[in-house]
Amino acid sequence: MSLNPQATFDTIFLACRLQRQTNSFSSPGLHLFAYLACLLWIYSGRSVSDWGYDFVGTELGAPFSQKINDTYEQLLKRGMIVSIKENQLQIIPEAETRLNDTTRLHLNRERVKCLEAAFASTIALSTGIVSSALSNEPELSRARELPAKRPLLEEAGCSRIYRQFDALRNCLKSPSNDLRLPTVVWLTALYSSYGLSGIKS
Amino acid sequence: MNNFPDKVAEICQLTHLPIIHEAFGDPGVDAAFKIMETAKNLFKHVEPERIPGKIIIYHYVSSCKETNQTYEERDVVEFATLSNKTPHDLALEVTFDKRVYLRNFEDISLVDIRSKAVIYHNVKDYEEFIAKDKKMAVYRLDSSARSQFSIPTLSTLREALKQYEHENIRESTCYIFRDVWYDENRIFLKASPEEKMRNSLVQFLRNRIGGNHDVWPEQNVDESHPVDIRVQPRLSNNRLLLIEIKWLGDSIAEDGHVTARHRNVRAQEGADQLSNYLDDQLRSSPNRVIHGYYVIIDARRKNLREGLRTISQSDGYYYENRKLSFNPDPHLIRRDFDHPYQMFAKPICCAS
Repeated sequence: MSLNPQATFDTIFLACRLQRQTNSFSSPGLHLFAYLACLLWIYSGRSVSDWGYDFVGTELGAPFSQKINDTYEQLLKRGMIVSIKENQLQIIPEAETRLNDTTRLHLNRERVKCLEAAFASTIALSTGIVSSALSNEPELSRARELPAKRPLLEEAGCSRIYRQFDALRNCLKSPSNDLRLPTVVWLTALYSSYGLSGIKS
Repeated sequence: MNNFPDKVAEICQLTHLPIIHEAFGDPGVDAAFKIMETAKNLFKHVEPERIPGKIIIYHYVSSCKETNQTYEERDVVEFATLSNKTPHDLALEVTFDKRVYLRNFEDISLVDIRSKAVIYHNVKDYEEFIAKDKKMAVYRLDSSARSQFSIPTLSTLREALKQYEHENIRESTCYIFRDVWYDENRIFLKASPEEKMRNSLVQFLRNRIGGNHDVWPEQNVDESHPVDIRVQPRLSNNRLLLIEIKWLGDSIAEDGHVTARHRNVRAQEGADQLSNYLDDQLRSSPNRVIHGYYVIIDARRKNLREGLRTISQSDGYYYENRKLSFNPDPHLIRRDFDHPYQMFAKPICCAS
């Protein structure tokens, strides 16, 4: 099976970063942060079609990418990812060495910025808070309302996200090249806009 | 969400990163992230409450660095070693290469360094960032954590429930849960505290296991549908974890009359209801793997009477170690029922 190169890069990148922070990572975490990185790609003014792979919203309103899943399963089969406990995976050190070579490549530069910012949101918040916040973004909250698998970030869905990102840009007084700033502000706003039931508070 | 722009504007006013960016630009944001990462690492090894005094973590911003400070290898901090010798106050400097140096707390003057460094300052559960002439309290998104940077990521519901008891219920540290009490000595509960208890646990679970699980509060329709919280592991369509919460103790209305006294019988009812519900679910969805978790918030006190304002140590803690017994024991007769999680909520007792 040939793997999607962008999904492979993202899977290894996120697995290494998450593991560095908590010694392990989870498979839903890969989908979550890859989706957040894709949204930041859009925030940076790039087209979603250039991201390299797409996402669907699950019945529960969680992001899922078949390409990320294929990569994850292949890496698991090849022994690059190992399961250590329930919901806890580890990636072997050789993967990080290989990643360091590809991270420096010019073609990955903009992609890395988005992935780094997505991961860094867990430093200011926590994985759980990021996940709860993200479930309130327009696309995932719509997926939850209609409990069926549906594609995310299609044209109509993107327009609601563009409006949120415009508001975000307008509120941040001076321009920043550091994507981590708008990421954390946006997620904090999403998290605090809704009550526990997922209803706007 | 029509008022989203207003919410974003509010967050820009109320949170530290935009303020730091205003003061120092992108280098300030970078410094703030290194500080937050350091705080996270520190609190993994030393809980915030174990440092009774102040914690200062600072990072000079690149363009402003004018310091005579020396950077000796011997001053580089290993957080693991701090856990055995927790100081009263703690000052840490983070450098560009993310190394963390232990500084003499008395030598650090916030007034002197605030013009050239981003500073994190934590004292008695209050945390703030300082950048130039601006100060901003850290916006707390978790009502139970002692610091926004001490929220762990847990992998299983079992682990989370154990931690919930220890961190939130015993001392009523969660702000949402704290509101269930009628009196400040935590003797009586308010009438119908169920919803607040459920919300406290929902928020706790979402912030700790939310990366891997979806956590949803349920509307408790009647006794045949007792489940309070539904937890579903992500990417696993056939697994469902159901949490039922019951409370024991005495609740009183605003005018002071007792509205309910719940004891062992109530605990047994909850176990039976959850068992019956699990049976129903098994019949209606035979392909689903469903598991029940029973949480009992134990607020029982001995010798309670209406109008009581204080309680002795012996009456307040009488039930602390009295484990509830069930007949039958649900977790022993069925494999889809976890050992009940009995969580004792401590009162504040008078000195005698």
